[in-house]
Amino acid sequence: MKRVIIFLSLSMILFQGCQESYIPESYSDEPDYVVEGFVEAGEGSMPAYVLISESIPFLNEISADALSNLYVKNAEVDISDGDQTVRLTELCLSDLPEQFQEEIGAQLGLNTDSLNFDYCLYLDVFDQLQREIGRTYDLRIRVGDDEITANTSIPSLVPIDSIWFTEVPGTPIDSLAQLWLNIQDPIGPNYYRYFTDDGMGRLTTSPFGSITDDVFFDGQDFDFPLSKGAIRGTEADPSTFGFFKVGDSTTVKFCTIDAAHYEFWYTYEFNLNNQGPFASYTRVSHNLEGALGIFGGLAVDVKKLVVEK
Amino acid sequence: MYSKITGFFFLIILPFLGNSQTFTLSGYIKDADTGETLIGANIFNVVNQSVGTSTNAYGFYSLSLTQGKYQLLISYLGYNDQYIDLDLNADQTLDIELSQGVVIEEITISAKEAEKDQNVQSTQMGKVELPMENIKKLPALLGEVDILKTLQLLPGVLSSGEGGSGFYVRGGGPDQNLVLLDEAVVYNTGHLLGFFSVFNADAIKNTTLIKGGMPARYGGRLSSVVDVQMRDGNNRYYQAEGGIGIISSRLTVQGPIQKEKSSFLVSGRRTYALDLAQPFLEGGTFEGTNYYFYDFNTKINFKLSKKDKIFLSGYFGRDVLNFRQPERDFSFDLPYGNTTATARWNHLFTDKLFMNLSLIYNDYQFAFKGGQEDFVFQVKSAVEDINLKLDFDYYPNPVHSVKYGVNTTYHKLTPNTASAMTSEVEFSSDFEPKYAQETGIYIQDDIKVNQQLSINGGLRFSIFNQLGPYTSKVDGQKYGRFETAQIYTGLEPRLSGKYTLTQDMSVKAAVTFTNQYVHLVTNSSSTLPTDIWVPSSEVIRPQSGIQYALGWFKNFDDAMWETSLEFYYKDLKNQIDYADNYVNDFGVEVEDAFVFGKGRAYGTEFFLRKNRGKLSGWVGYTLARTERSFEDIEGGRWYPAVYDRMHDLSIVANYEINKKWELGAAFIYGSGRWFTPYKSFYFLEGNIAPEFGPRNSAQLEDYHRLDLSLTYTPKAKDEKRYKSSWNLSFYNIYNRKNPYFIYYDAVSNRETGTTKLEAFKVTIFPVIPSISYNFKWNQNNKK
Repeated sequence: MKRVIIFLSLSMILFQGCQESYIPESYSDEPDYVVEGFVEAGEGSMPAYVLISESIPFLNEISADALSNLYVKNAEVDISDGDQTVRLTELCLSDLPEQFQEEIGAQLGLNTDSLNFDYCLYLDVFDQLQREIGRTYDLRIRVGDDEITANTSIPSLVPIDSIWFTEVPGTPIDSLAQLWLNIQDPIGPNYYRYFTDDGMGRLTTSPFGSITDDVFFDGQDFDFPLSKGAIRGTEADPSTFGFFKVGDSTTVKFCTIDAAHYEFWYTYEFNLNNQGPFASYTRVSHNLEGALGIFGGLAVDVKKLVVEK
Repeated sequence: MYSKITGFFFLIILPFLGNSQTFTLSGYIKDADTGETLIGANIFNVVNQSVGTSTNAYGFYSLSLTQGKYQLLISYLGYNDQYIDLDLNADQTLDIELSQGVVIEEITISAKEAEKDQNVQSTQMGKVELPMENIKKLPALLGEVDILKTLQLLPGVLSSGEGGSGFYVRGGGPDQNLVLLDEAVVYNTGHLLGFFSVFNADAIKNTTLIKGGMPARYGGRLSSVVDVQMRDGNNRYYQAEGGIGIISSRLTVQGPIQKEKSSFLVSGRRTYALDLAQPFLEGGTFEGTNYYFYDFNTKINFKLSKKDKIFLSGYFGRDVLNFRQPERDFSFDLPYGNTTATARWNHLFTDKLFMNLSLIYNDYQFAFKGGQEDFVFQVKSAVEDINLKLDFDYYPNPVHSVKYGVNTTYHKLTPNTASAMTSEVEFSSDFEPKYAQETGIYIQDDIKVNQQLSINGGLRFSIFNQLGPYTSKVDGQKYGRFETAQIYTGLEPRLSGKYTLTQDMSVKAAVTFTNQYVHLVTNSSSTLPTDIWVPSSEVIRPQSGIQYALGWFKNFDDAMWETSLEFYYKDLKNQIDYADNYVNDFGVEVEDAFVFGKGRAYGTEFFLRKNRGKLSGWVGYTLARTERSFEDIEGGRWYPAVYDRMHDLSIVANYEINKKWELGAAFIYGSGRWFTPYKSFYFLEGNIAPEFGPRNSAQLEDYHRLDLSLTYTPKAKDEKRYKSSWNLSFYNIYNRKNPYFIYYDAVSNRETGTTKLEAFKVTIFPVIPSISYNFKWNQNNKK
């Protein structure tokens, strides 16, 4: 909200700004490993998976070839649930039958049709990990001589109490609806993240942000509006953005996460949106040793519904 | 505590105990035309220039002399010098009036070294007085004369950013400047995100900047003092002045309530650029959206008797942004601004002992209220102070000039308190205001040891109490109203000395210890209305600093040319910054994201000023380094602070072509501002995310620009009641594209199928011409 104020304030400035390309000093540091690893519990949850890629120096170009080489292969990825350690299996999209490619792509929010590079992940193929609320998980990755470690937990699930659609705010639009969700927030700090269908069958987050804590509604029965997910960078009409199309079927995935997991997305999403003259400098709180990224546990509640007012 | 009270009582009665063998000449020095008192005017014995003094903040002077005949010289920048022959054989009160206008040639010549060498002769270092008349002659952005931007043209003072009125002094942060308006602290000095300062030039009499050797009477900030005095109001006749500019207009009216005894001044300024744009917004997406700011200054003073004067002054200013998007039923209002009120009583106990008692209130309020349909979101923050201040100026004999006093401030600092409401539910962040009391006791003495050596020694003792209601963040203990939760004390010695080498050359040195108990941390390039002041607490220790300064001062050619070379080194402790992962969010109290470290700053300042002639002006150059180190930021690596600028050059010139035409110019050059660049980027959830390199490890391009102004006064010599002038200003005349900020964006090349992250610089101020019309009406003049 603070950024919105500042942005809008700035837009009030009368002076015509001008811009041109600028090359700041750059660094030739070695790339960092980047990890996205998740362990989910609850109805509609996915088996544990981990993506490992590398960061790209600022001045480098990104091409399809470069992207295909971005994903780290031949890593040893182990997750321990306290009782057992499971080694995840390396899977590249190109290794899978087309039907699975689409399914996995949808779960990961990927458009597999337009994906012109190979996408590899490490998956608990046989779903051996005990994915349960209250458990903690240790991740250990070895890539050559490098080691990456992290841990996370799956907190108690705060389920969706009810979910409904209303008219969009302001002048009503017949074909669009606003999604609302109700939860009974337990007393004490709780952290949430949500995904919705982007209208193309992919679970995505909203560019407005995908997380919230309960600072403002701790222990209360709380309704909040959810914005439709979209892949960042896609063209959007500001007057219809975030609303759902009446008649579509959609999916909402509402997750309860722990503090470190929340802190990562909190700083990450702030960073993505944080540009401009009054932007502050914020370093993302990665929760891994030896890599950027996130290893997070989620307690999930998935609802499928048809958009109707 | 008992010994402190008796000690202070002793200081109060001290002046009554001594019995000197000398006689005292005392009184006020005033403007002959308006009766306005002059601050910092000099009165000197022409034969022995080490015998002399200058007027205090109320225009009062007291000079003790042995019996005899004297020729005294009275002078003030921009005024004609005056000689007075005096046969002193008893204590005498003498009010002296100086006039502006045509310089009488023979006086200028004979005035010679005596008063013009004050910069060389005084013990004070790093102090600059800027009378308003000098400031008004310089080019101004959009024609808005701005005292804070003029200060930025002095060596050791840096602008916080393009077009901004925020400033950094000798490597100190923006919160380390004590900005006073008639003694009231101004917590946020900027309008329109800092592009304009809150000081309306027409209402201001005098501005003093102290960047080194801060006297003991000032406290609570580490870096500098900017002491702004409002005009008292003409106590002889009515006068109105004002101006019409591109973005604002202003009007000041002043005059006597009872001639020679009491006067008033009211002054207002308001911007209207977006008011004029309203018809164009009608029917559009943003119909009803508006932005403006305004200031209102007022002052009344009464002379109750020869020994008593009362001053009441006030300031009220607001920025107001009303955003409307009717189609989506979305709107918000964002008002913020300062209020100050000062009541002062001057009393002369004897002709050697001057007292001022001030009761001061000031606040800064920020509010945001907006929403959509029945959802309402609001944020408020505020700083409120009540300050009681008692100061004495005591002039016991020609050798000593003593100032002592006490002041105590009650602070209430309300952090960003956010709340949200729908028709059914209300939520609030429930952050409690923070309370504190800050007290300072000081004594300082300006001692003229001999013809060559003068010493100014001072001691300030400060006490800071964090008060309840407060719940400890460390152990959960609850403190009741006015109960002390944490106490800090500080002893702050101040010492400066001057040794005269020749009449027009001296060396000076100073050591200054300072403590700061309220803090504002900002991690963007300029201070914003949303930035929050926080008090010291059990978690936040007071900032402290020591500054060492050494200077060489020399005048040439009958003091037509004034030069100085100053060196300084600053050692700063308990400096505050945001943690690396700080997120600007109303749901978090800012101090929870603070990290603590140390700082150092060192540099050289060169200053050359031409005081007289058709061409006047100055060159200021600073070569400096400012660094910070925090354990929690990259393991304590010393990195350049945002306030670091290795080279900073200002050239300011005024050329009087003839009585009607005057040309002004200002050239500014500075090393590029530090920023934290992107090191690399990575893919996560399909987004391109940046990873930062080391903090402040890259610099923007060097900054430079030239501003010009041309002032035309049609009937400059006329003594008519109504006089006017036109001012044409060009900001950044050669259209230098100075970077205001940079941003990053992914740029795709369809032909090669590649994408690259690129940086873009944004420039906001190209060449900007502006014109303003200024007028003055004097009841006293001929029709």
